[in-house]
Amino acid sequence: MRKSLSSKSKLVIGCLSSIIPIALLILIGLDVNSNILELIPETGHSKQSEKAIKHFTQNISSNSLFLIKSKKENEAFKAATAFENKLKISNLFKEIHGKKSDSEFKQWYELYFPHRFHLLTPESRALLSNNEKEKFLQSRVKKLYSTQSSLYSSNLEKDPLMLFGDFIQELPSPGSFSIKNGFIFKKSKEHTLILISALFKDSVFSNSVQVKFRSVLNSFAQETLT
Amino acid sequence: MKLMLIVFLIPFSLLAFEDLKLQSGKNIEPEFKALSQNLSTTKTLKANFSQAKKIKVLKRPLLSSGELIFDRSIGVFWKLTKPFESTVVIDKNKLTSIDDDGKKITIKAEDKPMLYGFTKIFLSIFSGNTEELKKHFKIYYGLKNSEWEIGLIPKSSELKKVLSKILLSGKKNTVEKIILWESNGDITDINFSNTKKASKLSEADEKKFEL
Repeated sequence: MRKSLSSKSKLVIGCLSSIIPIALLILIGLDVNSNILELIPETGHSKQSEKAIKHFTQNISSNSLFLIKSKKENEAFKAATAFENKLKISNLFKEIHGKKSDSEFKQWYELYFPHRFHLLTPESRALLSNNEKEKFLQSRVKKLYSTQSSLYSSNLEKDPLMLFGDFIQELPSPGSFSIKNGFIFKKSKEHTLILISALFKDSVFSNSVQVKFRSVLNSFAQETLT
Repeated sequence: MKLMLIVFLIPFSLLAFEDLKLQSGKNIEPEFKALSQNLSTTKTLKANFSQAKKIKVLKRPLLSSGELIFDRSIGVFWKLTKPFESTVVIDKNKLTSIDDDGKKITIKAEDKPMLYGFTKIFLSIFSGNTEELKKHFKIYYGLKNSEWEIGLIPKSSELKKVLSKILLSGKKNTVEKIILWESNGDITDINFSNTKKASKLSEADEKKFEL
C-alpha cells in the first residue's frame, strides 16, 4: 500500500516538476528565439554566420523606416507630424528621425565644418598635389561668379577657399528625396511620400514590443481615418 | 568704409518696394494683369547683361558681363564672357554648366530638387510666368514714370532661407533690371541691354543650348 502511494506521489511530483516551469514561462511571457541557427545542431552551422546574424538582430533590426503616403501633399505632412508624435509618446523608441529642426542641421554642419581642410574633392586634391596653386585659386574665384555662388559666399570669412561648399556639392545624391518643412519627402505625379526613421529601444522580435507597436499603429489609423 | 556701405545699402533696399502694391485676389491692378500677359507672350529673347554682385564680406562688388538667350520652349542660355568664360544652360529637366577649361557639370532636377527648384523660379521670371511665381512669392507691382516694378517676396520658409526679395523693373514689355537680395546679405544687380525679341531663334543660337 505504502509502495503504491509512494510511486503515485512520485508520478505527481514528476508531472508537477515539468508543468510548473512551463506554467511559469507562460506567466512571465515566452521569449521566442528568433535565431533559427541556434535551433539546428551545432555541426550544421558556422559560428561566423551565427555571429553575423546576432550582430544583425542586435543592431539593424532595431532600425525602422516608415513611409507616409498621400495623394494630397498637405495631408501627407499633417499625417507625418501626427505619426511622429504618436511614435514619441509610445515610449517604444530610442531615437526618432522625422521633422528635422534647424538645430539638427546646425549640428550636422558643426560636425563636418571643422574638418573641411580634410574634405578636399578629388579635383582640388589633384591641383594641390601637382602644385598648381594658381589654377586652384582661380577655380575658387570662379565659384564666386557662378550661378551657385550663394552656396559659397555665406561662409567666405571662415572658409575662404570654399572647401566646405565643394564637399556639400560632392555628396552623393539623395536620390529623388529632398527636404520640405523639415521632413525628408518625395513627390511623384500622384503621391507625396514622407520618410520617418526610428530606432526601437528593445528587440523588434520581442512579442511584447510587437503587441505594443501594433496598438500604436491601430490607434494612429483610427485617429487619422476618423 | 563699412559705415559708408551700410548708409548706401539701407535706403536702397527700403526704397525698392515703397511704391509697390500687393497683387492678390481682387486687388490685382489691370496694368499688372496686362504686363504679365505681355511678358508671357515673349517666345524668344536675346540680350547682353552686366552684373554686379555685392558679397557681404567682400569690399568690392564682383563685376561680370555676358550674353543671355531665352527660348520659352527650351530654357535659358547664360554665358559669362568677362572676367572669364563660363556657360550655364537651364532647361525643364536640368542645369548644365561648362567653364573655360571645358569642365562640364550637369545637375538633374530629380537629383538636386532644391537647387533645381530655385533655377525653375528664374525660368518663371524670364518667361513672365506669374502663375508659377504666385506659388512661391507674394507679388507686388508699381508704375513710376513709364517704368514698372515687380517685387517678389518669398512665401515658404525654405525659400526665405536663401532669398529675401527680388525686384524686376523695366519699360513696356521688357525686363531691364533684376535685383536679388539674398538672406545672407549678398545683393546681385543685373542690367540687361540690347534686348531683342523674336518669334524664333536662329539656328546658330538654338545650337548654343547644346552644351
